[in-house]
Amino acid sequence: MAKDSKTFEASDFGKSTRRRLPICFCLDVSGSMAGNPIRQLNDGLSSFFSSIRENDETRASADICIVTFGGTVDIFLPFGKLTKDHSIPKIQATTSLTPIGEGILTSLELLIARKEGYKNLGIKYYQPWLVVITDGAPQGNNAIENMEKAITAVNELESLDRLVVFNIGVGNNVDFTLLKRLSKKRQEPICIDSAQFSKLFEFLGSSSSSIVSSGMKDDALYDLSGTTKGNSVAMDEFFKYLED
Amino acid sequence: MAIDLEQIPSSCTRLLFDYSAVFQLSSCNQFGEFTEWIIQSKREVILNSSFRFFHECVVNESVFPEKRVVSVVRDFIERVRSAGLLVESVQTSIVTFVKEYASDKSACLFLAKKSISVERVRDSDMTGKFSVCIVSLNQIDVYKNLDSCLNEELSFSINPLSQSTDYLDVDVYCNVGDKVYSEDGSVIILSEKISTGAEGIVFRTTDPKWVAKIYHKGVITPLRWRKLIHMTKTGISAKGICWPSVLLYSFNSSPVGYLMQTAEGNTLGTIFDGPDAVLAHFPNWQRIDVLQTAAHIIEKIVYLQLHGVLIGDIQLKNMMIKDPENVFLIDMDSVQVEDMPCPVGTEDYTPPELWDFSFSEILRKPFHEDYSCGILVFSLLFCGQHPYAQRLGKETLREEILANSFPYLTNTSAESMIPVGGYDKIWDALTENLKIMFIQAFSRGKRFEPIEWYSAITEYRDMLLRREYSDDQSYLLFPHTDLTTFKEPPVTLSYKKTIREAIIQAPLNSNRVNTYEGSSSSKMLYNRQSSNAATEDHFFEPLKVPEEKAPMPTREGIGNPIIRSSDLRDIKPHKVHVKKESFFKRLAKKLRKDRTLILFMVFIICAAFLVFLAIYFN
Repeated sequence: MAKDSKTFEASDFGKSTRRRLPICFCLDVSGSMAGNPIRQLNDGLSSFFSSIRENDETRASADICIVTFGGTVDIFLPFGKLTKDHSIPKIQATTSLTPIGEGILTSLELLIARKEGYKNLGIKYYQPWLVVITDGAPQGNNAIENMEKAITAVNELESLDRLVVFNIGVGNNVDFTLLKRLSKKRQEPICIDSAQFSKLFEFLGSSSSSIVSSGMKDDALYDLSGTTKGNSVAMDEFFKYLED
Repeated sequence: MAIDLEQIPSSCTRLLFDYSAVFQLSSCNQFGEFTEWIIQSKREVILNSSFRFFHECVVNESVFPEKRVVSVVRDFIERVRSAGLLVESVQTSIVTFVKEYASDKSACLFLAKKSISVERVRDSDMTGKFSVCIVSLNQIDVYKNLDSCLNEELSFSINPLSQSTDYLDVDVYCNVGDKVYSEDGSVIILSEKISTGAEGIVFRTTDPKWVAKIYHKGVITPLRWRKLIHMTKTGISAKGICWPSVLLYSFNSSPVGYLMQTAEGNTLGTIFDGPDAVLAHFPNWQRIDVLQTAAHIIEKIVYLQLHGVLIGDIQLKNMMIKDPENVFLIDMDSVQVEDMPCPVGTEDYTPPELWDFSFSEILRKPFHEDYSCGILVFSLLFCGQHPYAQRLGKETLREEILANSFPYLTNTSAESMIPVGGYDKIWDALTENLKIMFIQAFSRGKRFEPIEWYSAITEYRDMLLRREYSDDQSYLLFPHTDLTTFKEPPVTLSYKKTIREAIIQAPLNSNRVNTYEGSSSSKMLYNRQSSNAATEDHFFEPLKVPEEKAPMPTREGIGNPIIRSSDLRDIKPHKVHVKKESFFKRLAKKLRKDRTLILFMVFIICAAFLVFLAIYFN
């Protein structure tokens, strides 16, 4: 659980002029995630990080933070830029409950604080991403109340276009009604089983690159089906286009 | 090929030449004859002041055989000047230049056919009574006034292929060591991967001068290939403009990509990213190096516009630099040529009026490019800083841009909105001319032509070169800023406390609850559920969402060490018993809190003492 302080470069807050993309992962590490799911989650995360590293533009812009919830809420990885070579420590599952609401509120707190930090220094930023991944329902003291607060808070930020929400449910024990309410823009929460983590993180990685370097709009992030592509045409037909 | 000089009305005694027209004429055999005719019939040749800047750009950019143009244009100017017929206007912009002669019937404006200048004049919505000559490769079309010219000389309408979303179905994956073929059958071997992008992969080839871009599957649309065919035919071969030169096919003649000249160095996005990034790559750089880089980049943009090309997706990432004398424009396959649009762009560099368009469905106008160009010039001069980046600003960059909120206007105020890091000092060291242009561009929305930026940048560069500044600091990359000791502003650690309070301790301090109700965002974020929940609602009490003067969270502040709520959970009471306290204890507590009470009591005691004395001595 210990944080490797070398994971991040020291002071990237003040000197780079780049427009930042703050991404906060809010990850479920409750008991039910133990075993295979948490391993696949770690694999997914590390492939996400390597796809961010692959592109200098994205690496310099992505400002990443990881909050975990499982019994307690922990700031697993505070905000910062990925360095080229240090790896991120593995996330461990706990054996306890799922304080998802608290997790989300902590993430919001961090995102808002980070944004205030940008504003204070005059750094441009893209609207932050909140990536919530859970495989269960809120559990623990006041869990439902806190979840309701979290939903209200997230919905309002999202409706003002100040937050992009990825509400992701893993497996069959997810409280989908509650998870669905977390985002009003997304028709349905993103439902996957843990074997699809790599695909999901691939999408997140390439989307962050598109936001940073190709000026993709936030709304496109709510359409997982990908851009509506046309038909593929064979070579003969293709060249007919060019004759006209 | 023949140009009939008799068409030009004899009433036209003043000939206004846009550079595009001279550039076009100079590759025509009859240009000498034309010059002779001007001198014989004693017509004035009027040029705007940017003419020589255009020429400078062509001198610096063009290569053989186009280089021939340089001496032809110079001869033309010399002959006209020695005949005493040359007049130079003070106007730099083509539009203001032409406007001066709007009602002059004896004037005749020369523009190149389908040139950017024609579009600029069109977009200015002026009516001109002067005649217009539209110059193309082998003829001159004469119009009796501007209106009739613009009605005939139509601008491009978007190519219908841009609507097609079909793409070529190829099953070809190119890897290192694979062979690809040019149209004439020569073999190119992909020898090393340089970079992978969203559209394709760039490979080194066995010839170090050329690299190959091979597209990913599904990227080659009819529009893209048609544009590439056109681009390879036009063949712009300026040094540093990585123009697609040769089309590449797979073994079965399926289109796969193109060859372009090799760009060296790093992308400008990596270099122009604050003082650390610049100095890490170029430790000896001074202000003049930044200006020289900017001049060479704008030069290329000007040169492309002379050839009717708008880049469209202008941004630092699409440029590379080896040193100030060697800069490169890359990703040229996305540019706008004739009726084929540039399908991409970013919010930071795109003018607000285009934000909500899909770029593949519109043709950009020169004044759209002017906007991007202004942002680019600023970003280069300020080592990567965006003109609208500011402290304590609005929620989004969009809002700042729409409000024309340019922080450098308020430079003198104590609470400056200029980003931290010495950028205010860069501003102070600019030439007056550039300051005025930036203010007009970013706080009043004025669009300057690239050539106007070029003239302002080179003026500044030449002043530095001639060492006209008395202040030695003005020559530095970051004037008056000690980069070795430059630190982030002092960090207040109070944030750490806030986080702790947020997660653990806030309930103990229940009288803070109401202080946040004012701010809608914080209210919405951390609304209390019920009034008696102060002790039970243990996890998330209202948190202060930092408002104007936010304490700055840093990694040290937030994350060190990991805050585990369980670590402190046991000290947090789930239920607080409010014990009945004795009167004196409560009084003592009150006294500690309330100074006026203390003063009051001291006063009472003094008064009692005086009364006592009065009674005693009576």
